[in-house]
Amino acid sequence: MKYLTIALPKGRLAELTLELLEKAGIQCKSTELKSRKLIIEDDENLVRFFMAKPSDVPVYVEYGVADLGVVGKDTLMEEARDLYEVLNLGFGACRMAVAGPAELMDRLDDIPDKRVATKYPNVARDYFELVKKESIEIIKLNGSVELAPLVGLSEVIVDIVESGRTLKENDLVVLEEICDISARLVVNKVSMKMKNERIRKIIDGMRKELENA
Amino acid sequence: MNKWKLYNPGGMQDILKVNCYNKRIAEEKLRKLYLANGFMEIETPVIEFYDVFAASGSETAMESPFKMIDEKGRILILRPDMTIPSARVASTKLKEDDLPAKVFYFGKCFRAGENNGKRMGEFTQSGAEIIGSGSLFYDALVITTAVDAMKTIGLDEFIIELGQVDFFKGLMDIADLGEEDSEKIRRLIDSKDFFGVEEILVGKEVNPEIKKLLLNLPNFYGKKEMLLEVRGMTTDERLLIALDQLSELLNILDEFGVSEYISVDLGMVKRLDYYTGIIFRGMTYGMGFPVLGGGRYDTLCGKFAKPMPATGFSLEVDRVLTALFRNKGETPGGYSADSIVCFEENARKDAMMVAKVLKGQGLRIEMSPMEKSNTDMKSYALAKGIKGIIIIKSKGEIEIVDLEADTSEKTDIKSLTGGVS
Repeated sequence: MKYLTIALPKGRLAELTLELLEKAGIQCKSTELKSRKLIIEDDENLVRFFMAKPSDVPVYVEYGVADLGVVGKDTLMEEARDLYEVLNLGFGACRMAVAGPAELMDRLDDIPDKRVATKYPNVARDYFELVKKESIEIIKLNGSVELAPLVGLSEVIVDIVESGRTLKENDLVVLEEICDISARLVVNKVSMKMKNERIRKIIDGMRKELENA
Repeated sequence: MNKWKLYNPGGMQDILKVNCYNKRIAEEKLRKLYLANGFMEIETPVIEFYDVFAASGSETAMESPFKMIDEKGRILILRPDMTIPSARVASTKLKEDDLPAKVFYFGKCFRAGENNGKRMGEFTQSGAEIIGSGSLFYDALVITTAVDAMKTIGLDEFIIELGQVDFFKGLMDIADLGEEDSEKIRRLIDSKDFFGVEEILVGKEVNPEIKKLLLNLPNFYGKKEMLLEVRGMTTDERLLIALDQLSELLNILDEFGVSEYISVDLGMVKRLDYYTGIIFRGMTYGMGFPVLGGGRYDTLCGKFAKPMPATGFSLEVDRVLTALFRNKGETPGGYSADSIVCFEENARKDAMMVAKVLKGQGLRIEMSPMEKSNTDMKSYALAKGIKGIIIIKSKGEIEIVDLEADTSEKTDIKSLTGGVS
């Protein structure tokens, strides 16, 4: 039998996923997680975990070096990789939204060719071009996106919103909601078929746990 | 000014040594297989008119960066695939008596680096197409040939997965959700995203039987039993025909004796481009992407001259060889000569004679003047996987170095050539 490899996003999502996997019958020595080791192998059950930067998880899974992975829907939308997206794990919930100063409320469509600052250029482009059928100028930033409308770099931002506190403290509001975000279980398209039995068992186990929770 | 002279353009690669040798060997084996099944080889140009691919509605062609303009301002393109040119040839150049045309090909194709290099910009496709018949037997023959192609190259653990475009198209026609939602649902089903499908269908007026099928479509994969189960869930004639066609195909594949490699996924609804009925793709360990793809394309030829039904497959040769390497490890040597005949300056003529005799015995012989020291010559030979060095000295003296056994023996020209001159 070959190893089954699972890619996890470093941090909180990894812990939640391992809890869920444990309940679904896949054990992992979680003490090792606290170490700085990138790969954890369980040679008894032939399962291997590795920790990756969250936005890289879809890449590892698409190329098949990981059979399964857990990743936020925001990253999945941005990366647009060719994967099976089989389960909504529910945790890591937040929203993808267009935000900006309150005076733009209901007036968003009045600004032609608006500048949109974001960490998610593909998500922003898809939303404005495909859903709202308008052209925009994307300004790609790597963090603290809220700053952009405050200093006049852009009119609005596209970002994930959890509690909305950062927005509020900077006098910004959600202008339009794009979609809900949460963690997803993704599977490589070839692995799903070549290692079908084991992967299906994991999916079913996790699904059952989620339904009971 | 010559800054780039050391590099390959993005997506282009040199293939050397054992990799190139293995690729040619694989191609020879495939050629033999196609010929044994009554296919004839065709060659089509690397450069085609863009219209050839635009006619098929291929987005890949539209987005290809490999375009040129000819002297009349018309757009030319480096072909992004081999199936469309095959259909063009069959539809425009073949006569009634040639049909059904069973053709095969090897060819370099060119695409923009898809998603950061999933596939090289230049890659080799090899495949077989049967054009001019709608018979299900030919779908089975093409799929069986695809199975044999994988086996002949050396893969033993792989799956050919079948899908049925008509089933999905039938469902979408009955559901009648409009183009935009249909395309969304196709994408969601193709990524087995149940929740996404459900979100779209919630509150939509769709026939409950169809709704149930759509919601479960991502899970409809497996073998014959799965098809039977799905069959029990519908009464729609069009859907039943699509399912029964797939069942009958499985029967023929069973008779061909390839069932163990076959599975079905009704939720396989990848960007359908020109495919019309049964589609399939091949997968193996060690390669996260399909290594072959194919299916029925009954309307493609009609986009050129003569409308004809057709089916075929095409193998991604480079991907298959990568998968083989990852599964089976390095295949040593084989690409170089068996022995080096190396000679002192005044023994050139003797060396030619020795080389001729040995080549006559079927050995592969590399000739080389004595330019290197014995030690350097040995490391050169070992690096290439050459097993012997034959040193031709003056006055007919010869030294044979066996690199495998690490021995050497002395002989002379007469005993080595058997007195031939």
